[in-house]
Amino acid sequence: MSTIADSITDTLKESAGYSQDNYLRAGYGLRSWLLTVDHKRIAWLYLVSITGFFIIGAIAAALVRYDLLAPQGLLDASTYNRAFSLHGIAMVWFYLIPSIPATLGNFLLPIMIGAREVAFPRLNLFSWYLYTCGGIFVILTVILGGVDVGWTFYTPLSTLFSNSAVIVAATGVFIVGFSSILTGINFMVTIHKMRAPGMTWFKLPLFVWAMYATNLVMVLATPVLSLVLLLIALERLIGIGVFDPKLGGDPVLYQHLFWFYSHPAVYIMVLPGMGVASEIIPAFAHKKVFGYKFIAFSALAIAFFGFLVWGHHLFVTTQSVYASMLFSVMSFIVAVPSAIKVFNWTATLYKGSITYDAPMIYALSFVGLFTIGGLTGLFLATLSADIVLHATYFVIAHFHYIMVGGTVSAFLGGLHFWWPKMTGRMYPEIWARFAALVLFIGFNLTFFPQFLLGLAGMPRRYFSYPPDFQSLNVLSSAGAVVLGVGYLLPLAYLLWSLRYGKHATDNPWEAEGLEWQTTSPPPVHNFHQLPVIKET
Amino acid sequence: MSKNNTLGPLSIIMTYLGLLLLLGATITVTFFELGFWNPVLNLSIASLQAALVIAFFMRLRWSTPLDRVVAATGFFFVLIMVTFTLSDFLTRGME
Amino acid sequence: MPTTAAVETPYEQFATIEQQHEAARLGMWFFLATEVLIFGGIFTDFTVYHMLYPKVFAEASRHLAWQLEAYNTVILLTGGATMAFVDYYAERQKRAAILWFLAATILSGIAFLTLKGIEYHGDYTDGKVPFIPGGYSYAGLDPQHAKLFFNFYFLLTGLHAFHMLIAIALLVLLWVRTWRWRQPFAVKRMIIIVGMFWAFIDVVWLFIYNTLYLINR
Repeated sequence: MSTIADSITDTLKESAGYSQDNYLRAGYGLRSWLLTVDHKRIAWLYLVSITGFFIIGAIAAALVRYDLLAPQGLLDASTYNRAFSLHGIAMVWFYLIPSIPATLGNFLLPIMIGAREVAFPRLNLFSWYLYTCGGIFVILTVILGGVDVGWTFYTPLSTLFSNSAVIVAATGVFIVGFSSILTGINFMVTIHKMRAPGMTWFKLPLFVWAMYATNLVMVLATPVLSLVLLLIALERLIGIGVFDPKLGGDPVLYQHLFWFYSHPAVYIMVLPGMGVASEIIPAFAHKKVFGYKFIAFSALAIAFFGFLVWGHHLFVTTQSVYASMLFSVMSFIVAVPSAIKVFNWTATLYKGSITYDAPMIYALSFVGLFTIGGLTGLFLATLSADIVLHATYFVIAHFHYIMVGGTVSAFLGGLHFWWPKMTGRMYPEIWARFAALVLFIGFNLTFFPQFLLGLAGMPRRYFSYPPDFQSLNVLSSAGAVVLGVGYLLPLAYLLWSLRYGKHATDNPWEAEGLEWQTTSPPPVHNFHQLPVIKET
Repeated sequence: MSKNNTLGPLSIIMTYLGLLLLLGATITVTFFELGFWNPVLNLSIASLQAALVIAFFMRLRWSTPLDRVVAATGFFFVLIMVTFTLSDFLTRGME
Repeated sequence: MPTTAAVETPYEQFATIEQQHEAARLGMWFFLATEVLIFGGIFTDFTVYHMLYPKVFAEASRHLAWQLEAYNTVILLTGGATMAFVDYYAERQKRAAILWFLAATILSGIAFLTLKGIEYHGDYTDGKVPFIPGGYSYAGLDPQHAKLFFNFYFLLTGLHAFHMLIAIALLVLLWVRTWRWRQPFAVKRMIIIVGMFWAFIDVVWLFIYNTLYLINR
């Protein structure tokens, strides 16, 4: 084993003699970015791309909220269907799923495990190109007039009846699915094989555990998505139909296959956020995290049990009530590890010396809003309640609390927390705290009324609604404007900080972790000198 | 040269013959009306053949325990997919 | 002038060559797990419908060319064996032997696809292709529901054949790189990985053959 450490240190010492002393200075041209195999630069490539798709998804959301200002709908039904479909597709596959893993994960994973690179650097770059390719198909879909089958592509609408650009959209998602799979394989092998000597599993940061669980789900679930999209495309193109009722096929079988992927997919979206929270909260409570092993194992538990619950999306279909009971029980079980995490984060805060820097505000938002979203998931997992709540705005509020209140808050929190490390600059703290609060307020204004609308019976995916629902809808749309400001502010001041921000020290937060023991920004090979992994 | 995880020519031929034998067996099974046992035997033989290919041609016999776990994981989750999906279709119409 | 390097050196990100080998194998197993899930998903759907229409599926299965495909299975298993020989000679860096056995493997793949093409043509003339206009004249039990069976047949065998095509293309690329012999160690590493892919395609076929063609009593 000592020969491995020796050879790493020797190579690192050689690299310290390079003229550039950080990764941002190792080349300035477009080629140095587009042909990079440095995981840190690839993280930036992803950051730019996902921001672009977030904007596309946000414009689609704006169209949705605009339509819902008036009961008769300010758009026509066909346009509305295309708007919410684009919103779902862009946000789920082109923003949420890659967001934390491909940006923060790419940047931090090798550094956090004491490695110089991921296991397969060229594959990493190829993943980004695949992602971009898939994105081009989304743009093509929009140009071709959009797609109106939702992000869920349910049959027989998607296979037999829709006249929109279904195959183009499905191809885009198929391609980006492969990007996911390749990144997943890369990160799994990296965590298993590239840890520095002495970096045992239980010394790993909780963010790495979260990445492990996330990428495990990515690798195992995404192929099934590829399959269903292929089946839809084949049925539309060639007529090989396996869900067609005229042949004795069952459209519910499509839903089984689709949700076998898409339920674990929502854990792909939330687990990284949990990892970010597990890093930020101890840092700003200035206290070691409570229950490290519980948090680590609960991430794995969520990943595993997340594969056993998919039928809860099929409660009101012809799925048998006995299967529904099984899935309902499983859905209750999967809530337990999430709750364990919330308890541990709270216990970490207890008797800590808490400072409320912007990352902490985002992390605390995450915990609170995720808890609300998660608890409302239990209502939906209850069979009798779901009969009433299925396909209403209650569901929409539930998952937006988790994905926006949860994941997006965590993403922004992590971006702020590690911004000094990634850029060598500090962001303006007062503006950041202000923006975090604007986000929190705007978010709740937008989505809390939707719980009430759902309870009152307003269905989702309808372009119009009974006049009684208007006031809550207008409130929600107004909240969306505030939420939008909450997103624009960080975009503005983070860009500003790249040029004018205060220079950051190596460890501005005085936090634990290998990433804070290297320079801000890090050198090309992450460490000038391989740090010694302490016995703790 | 890692001697341990390369299959020698004799072992390759033996594995190959074993696979052919199993192929003969599974085809023979279809000539008999064994009711419920037909598909069970067919699938068991298929699994045996797959195991031979995976263990020997794909060298899993000499791989790390981690490789074996990963190899098994795909099949395990397909098992979950099949059983939970069948739990729906098999119990429909039951009162 | 290609150097016959005595020592295989790892890529920059790896500390030792063993680490690199292990990482490559592990990565390939993760990838194959995803392939298991793709084919497994199709098998799941097939199983559900087989359970719903047992007699229809059984009779439709008896209309498939099981004898032709028995020969094809032998061809594929032979290709699996020759690929194992390629592995053996790759570890020992025996260029000539690699070239012969790679060629044999490629030939087995082409033979397989040829027989498959013949089978598909037979399916068309016999009227077992539901999705081609004028291609379906099946007169067995419940022709409408039997379409499901034949759709799965084309789906599974078609997806398998597609993977064969990619694998054959990779083998041809390997043959060319072995012929050039510019980077013997890199060729050896690629042979190991492609060999795993090739063997896996065998595994998929074994399950396809046993379920589609033989579960019909």
